[in-house]
Amino acid sequence: MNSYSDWFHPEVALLSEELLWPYKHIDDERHEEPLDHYDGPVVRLGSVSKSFGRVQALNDVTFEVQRGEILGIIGRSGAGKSTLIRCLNGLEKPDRGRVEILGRDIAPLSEHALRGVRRQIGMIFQHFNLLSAKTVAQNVALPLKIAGADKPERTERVRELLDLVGLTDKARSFPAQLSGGQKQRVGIARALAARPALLLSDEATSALDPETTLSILNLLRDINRRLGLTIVLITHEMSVVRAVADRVIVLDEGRVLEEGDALSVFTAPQAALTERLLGIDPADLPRGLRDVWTEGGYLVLRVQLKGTAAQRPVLAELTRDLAVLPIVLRASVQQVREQAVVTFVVAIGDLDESLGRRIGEFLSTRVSRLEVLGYAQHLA
Amino acid sequence: MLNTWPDMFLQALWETLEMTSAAGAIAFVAGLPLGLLLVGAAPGGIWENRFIDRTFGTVVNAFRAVPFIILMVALIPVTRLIAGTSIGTEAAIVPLAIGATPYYARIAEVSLRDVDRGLIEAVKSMGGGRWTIVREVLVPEALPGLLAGFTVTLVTMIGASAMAGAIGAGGLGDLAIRYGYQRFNTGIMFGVIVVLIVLVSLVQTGGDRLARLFDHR
Repeated sequence: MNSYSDWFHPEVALLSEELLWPYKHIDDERHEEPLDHYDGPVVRLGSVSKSFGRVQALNDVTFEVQRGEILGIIGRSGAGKSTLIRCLNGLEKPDRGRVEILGRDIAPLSEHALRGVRRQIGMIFQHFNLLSAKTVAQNVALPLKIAGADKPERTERVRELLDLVGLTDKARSFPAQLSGGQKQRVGIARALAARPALLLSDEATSALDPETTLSILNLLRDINRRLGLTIVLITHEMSVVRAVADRVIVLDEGRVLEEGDALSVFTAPQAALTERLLGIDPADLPRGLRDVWTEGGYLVLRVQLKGTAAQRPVLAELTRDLAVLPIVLRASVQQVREQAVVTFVVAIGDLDESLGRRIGEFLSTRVSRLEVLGYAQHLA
Repeated sequence: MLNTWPDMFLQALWETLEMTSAAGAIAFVAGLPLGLLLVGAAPGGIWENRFIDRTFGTVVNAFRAVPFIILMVALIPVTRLIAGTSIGTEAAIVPLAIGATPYYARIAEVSLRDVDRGLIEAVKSMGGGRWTIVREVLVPEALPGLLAGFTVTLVTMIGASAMAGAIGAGGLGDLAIRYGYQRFNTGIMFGVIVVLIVLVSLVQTGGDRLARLFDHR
């Protein structure tokens, strides 16, 4: 068994025996590095800071990426996402801090030494960055050529990869002849060519239409599952993170604003910015929302249901058991990974203090999250 | 002295072709690396180097600032050193090549600089070094522009070669000046003009076709 198999989970190794490392010389190169039996986090960032002139792009950023997980980094433009992802393969050098890739700090490495590290990291781009003068097959073969694989190996591997991304019939086409989605599939095949331990995705779906975005995200998810490949993706679109990420980091002004598993960040965002990125807009709520209840007013609640809670008729039960008539002001269903998250904003009138308390008790045992947004005199 | 006009035309055409193709080949072979050097040494380039950027930039500008006819005369000692003589078609190749190299280097520089930086970044992210970037990205991606630019250089050189008659290089320009202008032979003058138009058209068409052949954008 090749030592590269240690890189993947055992079940994945079984599944993709022929996908394992066939390039002896590259394997040898790995032996020089203390990575063979490394099983810690694929990425470990320690207090990374970076400025461009007076602009602080990254400010004391610390996080880890575990093997086989998909980490989504979301932020507005200018939040430092691009700088951050470029630090991960040494295209950008941090001013301070450690950038450990597979247990090795790459921040102090020379450009020459970085080349070896980059061969273990695939990257896909917003604008695909395919070479226009090369065919699809030649584009996919390029990382292998750089790694020194000989021609028969390259041909064989390119065939496998084009098969994986479903573009076998486009091998001889030039990128200009492909659609955006097909170009990104070529980009993915190319990024996977040298069997990287980590895949970086730099706004890879931002130039694609929603349907194509979905198919590309599904492909990434599929690759992550089948190959156990660790993926770090940056995006400004919440829907992208929601569709694929296991864990989410919210980046703002170069700082980690919020971090957590995807479901908790989506269902219980801690920071106001995260709420805004999630598309929770205060403008959708009744005007004149107040903190205190006044006679004849409404109680405005946000109720969130996920998992099994989302399969129960909670609002109907509320009406049956407490004889209140909730008015739905806003409702949404979001798919976070495979789980549906249902959110209602409801207003309940004809209230008195004891009823308000009973509603709270009733709902808190049945819903995933309950939040009193306030009280409104009118539902304008 | 040749006897018949057709013989003289053929002789002159041959000399023009000899000068421009030999000097053109040298300009391509020397100008392309010079263009790469200029692009690579520029700020943000793959081998960013202020000294090289400034020095070579200045030298290239200096050569391009001197009118070809003056450059040719000024280079007579160099020509003599390289060609053994400063007179004749072969000798004219030296100043033509020296004049055309910085010209083509600048044209190549423009094409090379136009290559999407994202592509360079992509190859860097694969672990490619500078030479990989030159070989797999810069030259192939800029090739249509490099060929179109070379066509422009060749056409300019056909024009410049007419001046080479001043140092006895012969060629079509020389024929037109000596017989057409100085001896008031309007027929020769027109003949040369027609041949030059046909020649330039052929070079331009050929260059365009070649550039299109390599353009997959």
